[in-house]
Amino acid sequence: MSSLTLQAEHLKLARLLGCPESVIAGLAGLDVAALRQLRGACTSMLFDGDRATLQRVAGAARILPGALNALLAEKAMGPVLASRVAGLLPAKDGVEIARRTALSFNVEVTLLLDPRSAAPMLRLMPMDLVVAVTRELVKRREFIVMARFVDTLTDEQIRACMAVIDDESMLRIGFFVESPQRLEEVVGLMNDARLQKVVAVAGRPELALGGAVMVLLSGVEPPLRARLVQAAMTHADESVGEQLVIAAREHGLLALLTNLVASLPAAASQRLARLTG
Amino acid sequence: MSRPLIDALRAELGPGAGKLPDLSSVPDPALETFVAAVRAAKRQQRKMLEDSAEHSLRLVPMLLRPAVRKILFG
Repeated sequence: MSSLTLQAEHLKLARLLGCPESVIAGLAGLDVAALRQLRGACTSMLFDGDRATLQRVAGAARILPGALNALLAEKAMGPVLASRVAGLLPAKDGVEIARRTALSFNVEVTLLLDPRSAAPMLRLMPMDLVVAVTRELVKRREFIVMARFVDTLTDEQIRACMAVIDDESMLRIGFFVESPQRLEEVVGLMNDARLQKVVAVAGRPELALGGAVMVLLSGVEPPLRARLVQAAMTHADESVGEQLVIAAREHGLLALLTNLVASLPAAASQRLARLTG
Repeated sequence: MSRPLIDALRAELGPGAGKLPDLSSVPDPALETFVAAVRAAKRQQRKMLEDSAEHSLRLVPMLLRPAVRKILFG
């Protein structure tokens, strides 16, 4: 499991610095906690360095009406400056600007936002805008960015977004979610039918999602894990269960599945026992 | 944890470097590549912000730009 979370950390730090993953993979010997610490230091360098200057810009924006701020943000500032100022504005002012600017502009700003400072604003964003931006981020396969916002958005926003996120993207986003508690909560929002679709995608070897489904299984508590495994073992396509067992074997996590044999309903339990035996 | 490369990394990271993990296990060549990546990211970030700030001043009349630039961006 640690090799999967390590890989996720490599990709996140590489994305933050805009460098090849090999640069981060070269930091041999650093564990997940150390890499997260390093990412925190790099985030602080990139986002906190110009805070005083950006506060002045935010201060100027505070005295202007929302419509003018929106116009200035989109036509004059552009997404880079707007994304940096957004987190320094009162949340409701940031929302006002977002509501009045084009979707394409909101998408660009979202890609550049610092979720640490933008969290209160994001939680106030209108649902239709959050969903529209999510739809675009899915199209662009911005899984790391979307995972960052899983910690930030409300359950209601997440639920609405899940309706426009396809099953493959759900797994790829889950791979990068940092907080196990939040992962548990978000996966817990899915009904059994959706869980079955998500695990079915993991059963398609050509998508190479074995690692992602293992991150999901190992990141959630046993009751939710049992729901996921049951969804795979009772799937009409028998290869879904088989692929799950193959992925667990590949990542040395077979015990995650075998430990559940006793707690699953009879049909799922027998199938799991047969596949893992 | 004092090595020239770690000191260089601290210098690039600035105040955030206080939270650096123990990097003693990282070989020099890998650390050197990483420091270069951090430096490049910082430079890129600064350039993007400067370009963005300059772009934002286009709407301000030419004669007023130096004063507005000073007020907003220091």
